[in-house]
Amino acid sequence: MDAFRTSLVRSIRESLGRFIAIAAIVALGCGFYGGLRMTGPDMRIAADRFYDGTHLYDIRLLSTMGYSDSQIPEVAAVEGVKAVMPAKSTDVMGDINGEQYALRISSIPIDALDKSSCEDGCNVYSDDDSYLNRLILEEGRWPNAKGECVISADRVAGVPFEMGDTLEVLYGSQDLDGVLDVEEFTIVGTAHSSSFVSAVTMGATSLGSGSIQQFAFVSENNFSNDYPYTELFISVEGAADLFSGSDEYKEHVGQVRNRFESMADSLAESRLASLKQEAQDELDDAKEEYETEKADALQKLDDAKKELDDAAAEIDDGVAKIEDGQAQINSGYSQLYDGQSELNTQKERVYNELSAARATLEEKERELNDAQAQLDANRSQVDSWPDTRAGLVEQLNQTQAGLEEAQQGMADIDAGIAQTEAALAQVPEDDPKRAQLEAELAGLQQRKMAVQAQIGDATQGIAQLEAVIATGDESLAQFQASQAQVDEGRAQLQAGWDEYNRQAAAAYTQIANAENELSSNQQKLIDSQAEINESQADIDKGREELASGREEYDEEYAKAMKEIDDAEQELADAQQEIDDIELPEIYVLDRTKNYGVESQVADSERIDNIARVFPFIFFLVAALVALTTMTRMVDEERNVIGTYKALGYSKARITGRYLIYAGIASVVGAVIGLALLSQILPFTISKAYAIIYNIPDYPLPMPFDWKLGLLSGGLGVGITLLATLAAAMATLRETPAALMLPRAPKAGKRILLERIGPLWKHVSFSWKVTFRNLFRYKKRLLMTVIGIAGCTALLLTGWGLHDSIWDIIDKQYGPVVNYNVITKLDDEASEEEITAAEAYMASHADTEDLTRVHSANMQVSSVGHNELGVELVVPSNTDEFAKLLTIKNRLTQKLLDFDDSSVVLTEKLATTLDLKVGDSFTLYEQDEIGNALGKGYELTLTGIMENYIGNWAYIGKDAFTSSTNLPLNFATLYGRCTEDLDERAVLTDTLHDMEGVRTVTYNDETIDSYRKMLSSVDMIVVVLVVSAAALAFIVLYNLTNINITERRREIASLKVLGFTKREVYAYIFREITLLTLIGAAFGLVLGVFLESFVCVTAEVDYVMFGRDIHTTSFVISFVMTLLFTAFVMLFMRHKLNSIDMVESLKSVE
Amino acid sequence: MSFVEFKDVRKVYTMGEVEVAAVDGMNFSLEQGEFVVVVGPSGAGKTTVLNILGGIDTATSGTILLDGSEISSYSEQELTQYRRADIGFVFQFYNLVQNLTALENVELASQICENPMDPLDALEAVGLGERSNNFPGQLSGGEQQRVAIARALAKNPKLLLCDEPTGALDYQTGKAILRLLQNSCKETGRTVVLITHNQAFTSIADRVIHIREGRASSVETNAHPVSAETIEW
Repeated sequence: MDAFRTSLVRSIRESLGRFIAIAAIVALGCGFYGGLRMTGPDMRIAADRFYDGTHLYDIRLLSTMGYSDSQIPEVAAVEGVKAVMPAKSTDVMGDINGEQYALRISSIPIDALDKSSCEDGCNVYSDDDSYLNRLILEEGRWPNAKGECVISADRVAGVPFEMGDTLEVLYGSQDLDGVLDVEEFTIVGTAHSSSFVSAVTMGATSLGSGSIQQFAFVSENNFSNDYPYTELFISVEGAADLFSGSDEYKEHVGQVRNRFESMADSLAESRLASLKQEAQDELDDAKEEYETEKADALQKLDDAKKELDDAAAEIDDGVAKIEDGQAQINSGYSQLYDGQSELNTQKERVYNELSAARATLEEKERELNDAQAQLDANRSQVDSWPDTRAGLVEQLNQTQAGLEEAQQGMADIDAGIAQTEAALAQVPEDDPKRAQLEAELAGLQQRKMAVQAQIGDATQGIAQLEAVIATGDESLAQFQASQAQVDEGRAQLQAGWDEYNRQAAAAYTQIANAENELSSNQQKLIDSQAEINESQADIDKGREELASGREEYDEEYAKAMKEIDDAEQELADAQQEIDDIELPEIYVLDRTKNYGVESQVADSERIDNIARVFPFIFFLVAALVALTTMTRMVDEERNVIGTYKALGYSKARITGRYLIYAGIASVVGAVIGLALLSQILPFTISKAYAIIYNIPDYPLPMPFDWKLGLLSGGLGVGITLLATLAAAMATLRETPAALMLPRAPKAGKRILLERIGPLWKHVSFSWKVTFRNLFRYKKRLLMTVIGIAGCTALLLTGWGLHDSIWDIIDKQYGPVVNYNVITKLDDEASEEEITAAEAYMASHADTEDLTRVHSANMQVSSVGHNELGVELVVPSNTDEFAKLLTIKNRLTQKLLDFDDSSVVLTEKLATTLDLKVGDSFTLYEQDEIGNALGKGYELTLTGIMENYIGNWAYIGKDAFTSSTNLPLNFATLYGRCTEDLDERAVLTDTLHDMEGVRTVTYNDETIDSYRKMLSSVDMIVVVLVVSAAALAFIVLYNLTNINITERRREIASLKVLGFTKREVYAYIFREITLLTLIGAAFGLVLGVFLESFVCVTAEVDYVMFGRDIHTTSFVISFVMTLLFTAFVMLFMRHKLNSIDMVESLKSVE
Repeated sequence: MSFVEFKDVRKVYTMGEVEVAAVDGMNFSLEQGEFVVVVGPSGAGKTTVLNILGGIDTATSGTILLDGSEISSYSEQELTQYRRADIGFVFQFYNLVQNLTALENVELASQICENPMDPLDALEAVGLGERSNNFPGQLSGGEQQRVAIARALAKNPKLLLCDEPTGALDYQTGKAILRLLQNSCKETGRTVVLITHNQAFTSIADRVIHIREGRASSVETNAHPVSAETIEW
């Protein structure tokens, strides 16, 4: 390393602050320019990567009447076509957890879904090459059954939902019969779809506010079998290798697209033919079926008639039978009555005979009974006789026994007397014993006499008894004979009775038999009568039935005839319809017609536009920083330069030293700046846009565009080198001798201000220094003013942008839009239905100012401009409507006249179409995918109104009817209701259940989605504020640094003079503060322009940014600039403090 | 007690590992109203002494007293105040603020002290009343040095410290400046300390302090100083 280079390295090391200042401003300039320029391309690269990774279609063939299955291979065979994925889809209004969306339901091959895999959130692998628009599952799982769906994982606003919630289809853009088999889907997953990359607006539809807000992918079997494939997604061979949206890509795909465009007519015709054929076949089948059915019906009628006639005949038969039966019964009865009277006569005779017989028998019996009675009267005697006789016999026996005993006693007594007389005889007469024997003999004598009496009595008693017994026995015999006589009589009587009874029983039996016979005959007759009666009832009923049968038959007949007529009419109509089928419209759409893809490109191009202009300010400041810094460096080294010059170094060599110094600094800065900001800026901005677009981030590091990098680095380094050259050349022109001397300090000069004597006198010396200094170093003044102005302008742009963005919502909702609820009814809704909905709304949720309007999604264009979607509103009553929408001029804030003959467009729309009041424009109806139809209707604009969100046409009804022949259906209700969510839920639910009501929408949902969308642009504010701060620091640091270094001596002198620290700060910083103030003031002016440029460039479709920067933003930007300055000053105080008086004053520099 | 006293004052600079004593045990004193010349060869430490006395540098050790106040113990703020009120400095290279006129340069000083001279009077005193509205760049070296002296005097300092005030001037101008300083001392009784390497100046001083290798090698008083006009070098 030679001394020259050594000295260069040393000078870098010793003046690191200066080196860093140059490097930093170049880093900021190059980085900002390069980074911002690369952001747009990076966003497009990320998109291309996503589209390739998910096999996004290159061409979409859309048919208004679908495709025949046979057309798919035909399409696939077109040259350049790589794969074709047919899909069924339809647009519907759906409801998820109470919020209503316009959504597109599309079929997706679920087999392919299951087998696909995605690991990096961008590339989806599948064996199925014809699986296009591949989905990336975010949450949940893929649908695998009927009635399951995945919906967008990216929708920015709306009611939260969970897996398992229901998506209810409310109604479709077409009659859903024959389209969808399922109208309630379970959300089983959420997914990202490259064909719907914009999460805010997913495309145009005829439903809702005209844009698709949600998509649902379902398996094909959720659609009716008969519903054809409505769109064919096509990938073009080799297109994935090209950059999506590039000219090469467009040209490559364009070739295939042209093929399809030239093929579209034949496709349409063959589709028409096959549709007609299909319909004709169906109709013919129907006709055949009709004929069969007709024959059947007629046959059935005939059968029925026959049946009825049969029934009538049967009834007649029945009647005859009944009459016969009745006659029989009647004769049966007369026979019965004869039998009965005969029987009665017979009975009488028999009874008489029997009674006579009976009387005889009874007479006999009575006689017997009398005899018996006589007998019976003696019976007790007779009966007691045996006993009595036995008693008598006993008595006799006893008496006999007594007699014998008495006779025995006589013998004994005679023996005793003999003995005693013998004994007495022997005994002397004077012996005592004699007296005794004599007494005994007297006793015995006496007893002999008693016993003799007894024997007498007994003998007499026996005789008597024997007589009694004999008499008794005779009586008994007599009695018994009488009894026998009676008994015989009785036996004879009994026989008589028996005979009688036999005869009577026989007679009775005979009679009973006869009676039984009669009564059974009678029963038979009764039964027969009942039978007959029943039959009669049957017949009566049968008659009735027959009558109603005949009536029914007549009705049926009439009905059948009518049906036949109707069917024939229907068939004829169907035939007419088939004959009338129009050629289907086939649209060949490439990616530029995909809303998401195209708006992403448009947004990225907006950044390109900003990037081309915006960083200019940094380059300008970089040039000035380099110029002042290098000038200062050259000045500081003037005697070194002189020395080199004196030593014989060439000018070029010496200049080279500074060029190399500046070159190294700027290259280092450019490399660092580009390396950092080419990542940070695209990353940050892409992240911001990720809120709107679901395109996955490009993995870091972001792609580096070398061409842009070199351009930006070259600009940065080039500007620095030029400035350095300019600074060095001025000094090098001086002679070495002059260079060796200290440069004469730049002389003080009087400034203009001093000419104003009275004013100047009141200015303190330090202010004088300040003022003079400001004008002494013009380069520095310029650098500082421009740098600070840039900083303030950036801040103002940032905050202004923030204002503009949030003004969209703040100025739209409230100042312009006063309604918050819109209830749409069917266009065909009846007056009653509308009134009912209106009445309910008026009664609920504090709804006020309800008014009816006609609303429709239409297209407008003006000369030289393409059609734009517009929401048309024709109020039924402009005065009422004025309470809900403030139609005013933005600049004057004056209300516009709005009556039935007015035609008002919103400002952004009018600006885009280049329309002024009094110009005319064309209003078109649109088809389902948002193409203008027909020649349109011409209207003359009467007013342009302030409006920020959406493109609207407010047209008075007279103006509308006089310029168009379209029908007016005042079937949309605008109103203002409560903010209370529960009340609203009730309102929505109730309205939903009402006939004719299609949707109920609240502004809040719109506001929410805009808030989300706009917050992405808000990220740019952060970028701007950060870069403004960086710019301010670099400029101020550099300025202050130079200022202090250059004035070390002066500052040291002041210190020596006894200036306090504070006074020294004030002395130096006053100048910077003043410059900051001037710069900030300029910056505010510059910022207004910059902000409006960025605003207009960054503005997205359908949205007009607020056009005012708020006062607070001016204040904030100004104050922030001053704060940055204050911060730098705070930082620089140390440098001031460290100035050493002794060192500084030692010698001349 | 003397007006100014230096007692064992040392000033040591540390350069890497080497300690160099610029002032190494300085002892001297001087009285109010004296015209003092500090003389010595280059590098003897005289400027350091002046700087320490003027409060723009501090001693490593030792005591400095001025009019009874111990300057060596002053804090930074007190030193600032001290410079502001008590000291007037005149440098070899004038150190005027280029962006202020002569008058304004004087005002710069007079505005910050309590009882300053009228700035115009100060300029007239140095004979520059006519040039008061000129910028330094429009003045010659001598004139600039006179403005510097006027600026120093305008503060009415207790001490006027001059560091080689004639070093950048030609002979005649240098003499005129010396005379101006001498007059200002004699006429207003202000104490003036002048540093020079020029031995010729010693004859005009009331007191001469010889400095050698950081010490006062000798201090002599001159009972009959001559006028500056009479000396030659």
